Amino acid sequence: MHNFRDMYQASLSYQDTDTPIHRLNAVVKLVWTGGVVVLAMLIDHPIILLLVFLSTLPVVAIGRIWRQWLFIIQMAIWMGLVVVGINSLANPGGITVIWQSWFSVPVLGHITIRLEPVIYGLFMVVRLMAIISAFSVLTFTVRPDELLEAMLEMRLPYKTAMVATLSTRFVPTMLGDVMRITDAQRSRGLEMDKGSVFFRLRNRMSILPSMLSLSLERTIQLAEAMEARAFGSQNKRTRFFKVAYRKVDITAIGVILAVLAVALYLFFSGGTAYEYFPSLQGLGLTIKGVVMSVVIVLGLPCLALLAWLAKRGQE
Amino acid sequence: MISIRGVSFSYNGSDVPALKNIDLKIERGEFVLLTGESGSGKSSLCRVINGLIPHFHGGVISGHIEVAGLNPLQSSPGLMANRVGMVFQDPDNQLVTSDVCHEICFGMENLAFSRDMIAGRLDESLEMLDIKHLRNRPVAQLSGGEKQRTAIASVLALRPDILLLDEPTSQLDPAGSQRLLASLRRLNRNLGLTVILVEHRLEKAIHYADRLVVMGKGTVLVNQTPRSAMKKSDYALEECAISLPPVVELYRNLVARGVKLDAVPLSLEEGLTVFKKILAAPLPDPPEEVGRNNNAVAIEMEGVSFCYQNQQTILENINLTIKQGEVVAIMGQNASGKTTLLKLINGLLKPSSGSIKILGTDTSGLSVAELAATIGVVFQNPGDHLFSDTVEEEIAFGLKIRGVAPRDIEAMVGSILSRFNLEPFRARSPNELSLGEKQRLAIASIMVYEPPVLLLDEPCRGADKSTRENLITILRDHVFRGGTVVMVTHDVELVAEYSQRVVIMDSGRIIADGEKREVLPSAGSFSPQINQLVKLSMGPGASSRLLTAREVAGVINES
Repeated sequence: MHNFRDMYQASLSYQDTDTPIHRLNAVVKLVWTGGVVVLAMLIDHPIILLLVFLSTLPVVAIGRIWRQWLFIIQMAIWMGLVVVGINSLANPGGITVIWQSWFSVPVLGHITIRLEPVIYGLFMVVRLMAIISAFSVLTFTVRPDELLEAMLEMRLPYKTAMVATLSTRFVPTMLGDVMRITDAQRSRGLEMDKGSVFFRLRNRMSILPSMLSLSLERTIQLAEAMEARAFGSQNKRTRFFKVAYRKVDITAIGVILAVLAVALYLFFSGGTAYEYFPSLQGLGLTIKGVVMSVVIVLGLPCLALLAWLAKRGQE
Repeated sequence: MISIRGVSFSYNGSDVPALKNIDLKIERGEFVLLTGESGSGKSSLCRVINGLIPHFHGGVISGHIEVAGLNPLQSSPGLMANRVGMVFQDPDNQLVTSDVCHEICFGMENLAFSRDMIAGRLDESLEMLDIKHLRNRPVAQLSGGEKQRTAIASVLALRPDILLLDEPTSQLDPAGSQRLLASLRRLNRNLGLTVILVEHRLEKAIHYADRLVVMGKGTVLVNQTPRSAMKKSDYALEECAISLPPVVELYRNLVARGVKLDAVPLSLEEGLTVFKKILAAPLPDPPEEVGRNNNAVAIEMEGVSFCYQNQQTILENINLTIKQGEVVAIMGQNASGKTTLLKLINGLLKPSSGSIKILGTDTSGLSVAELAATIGVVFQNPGDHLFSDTVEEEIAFGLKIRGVAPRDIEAMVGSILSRFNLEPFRARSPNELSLGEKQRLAIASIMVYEPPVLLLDEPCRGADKSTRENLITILRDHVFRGGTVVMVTHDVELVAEYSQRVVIMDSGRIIADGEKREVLPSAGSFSPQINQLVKLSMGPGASSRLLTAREVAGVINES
């Protein structure tokens, strides 16, 4: 339960600034995010996985969304530690015992912690961080409206795309609600500042009923307003706003697709896999693995480089 | 344009019909002001006209309706969208996209207009509402008034014949709502647009309207021109539980005392003509109220400034002393720092510099919950405060956390329930209550442990007459018992009638502070209608300490 006020101040929605990354069109960033997600999901090798994650950082930096990025990565790490913990306890794989309890726990028996599940869990977290990092670029540098246009451009169904963008559009509103309700209830004497963590947490939960009924109300009113403006009344709808492509956008999409194609080819032709179980494989990379790493390290951050060059070209 | 005959409607699962046998005819180009107490069926009627009832809300409907040549019972809201545009109360819940031009195009795209047509209408709509400069602005950066203008522009882009507005000004400050209503009037006159405006505060819009419709308990009680409705003092308008514009109050007050007047005035300008003779001679000041307040200090703010981390200053060097037993109104445009001031007083925010003392105790080391023992706060949305399963538990909460014995709790809760007229809801969930009832409950749940200071943020927003009067009774009672009231409000007439002292804020500073008769007359858009009337009647540069119709009628009677 992190402080909502921090979250609100980091303002976890589109950041209205003008950076080279913001200027790229939304399709580019959608394709890039998709590419990172595919790579992060497929790749098992710890070194290459780490490189995928690191390759997203230049884009975050040029897009100037460090503050927001840091905040959600923090949350991802907390969540990830829970994953590591559960994985270490519950995953029966692995043979290298690093710790065993001298006491016996009902149901579980003697607790045994093995190296392999711990490492496997840790790299699951890296995977998660790479995906979240890529999505942060999408959330913080693309206006919800542009995201909708990009999704429509990629022929996603309209209603699905609309729901996805509406949820991002309402994040700040809902965070505002949480803060307002929390303030109102603290003002009534519900202690949320002092006392044990458990006590405070329990008191904070009291905002849920209000939050639920308020969100429901908002949803109904929004649905009414959309209905009154003919949402979904025609099978075909006009797309007034079209995504504009500059040279840099097309180049960027080309590079991302090329990186993806090479990486996928290398992956499916074998030789880049990695085994965590029963015992950790050596970290050494095959030639294919090295090529894949180089392509990823040069290819994914190219978004930042291209955007930056395009901006310099304009000035 | 609109013809409604014998229409009745009930929501699913409700035994009480929301609309009962409504008959109403509205001609093309009329400006209709629709009013009535909360729950009287105004919103339901609007939704019947644009087809959201029954297509969206369901329920049982009977009778005959024709709107712009269509039958909304058979035509879907999508089809009706071309004929009837609707603007809702809360700007945040009706803007779908994240910037102004996308918002305006949303409906047109849904109706599959051609791209050329959309481009043309986008420009026109921006122009009609005077928001060309906002074209590419993100919705999140707009003020409440700008959001409502955007909402109107986005429905006007579909070129409806009829524009329905459900309390569009309830979240705006006086200047913002004045601008919005003036644009409605312009659209109505220049384009021949039929406008149906739901509004509680008649004085804001009655002079624009061709017709006044007052609803009560699901029926139409009054349906005539505003002038004839306001004039007839025999009429049951008093029973409709709506508050009349101050100039009308004055007119009726004087007529009741046998003064002969030509016509009933609906606006300040008309008032100047109608009351010319009576107000020509300078009027005496109202009788002086109770003497100086020598009570102890309740709230003391010394050199208080506030800013969020490394961001611009929100409050600057506030010095404010409020004594016990005072009723203080804090006024100012939106975003002038009023709510921040309240939050500093009850400890939700801590000052960046300066000190705050409550009843002589410095608040810096106290948590919000600890301060709650001496300071009760009710924010704009009373529902935010409520978290218990039943009304009874909600009230008992404040006593339980203070360790009151269960036997005493029962007795105290019982007496509060009857004092606040909440007895019938005792075992109900707070969520089921109406806005006015929620507000009573929110205040009751604080008053049960009698904190000496009560802070209120916009207590009368969207409130009808009976809710307002009820609130004033509750506050009077609190002050009578020695309590202090500080309220943030835009409601000029509430302040004129009820508060003692007024503090006006602008851009994070206090720009005026004093007895209400000193401050309000020179407060621009915050001075009450009657005060402006008296001042303007007396000629340029004149001033007057009279604030309400009752006071003016009183001093005229004496002289």
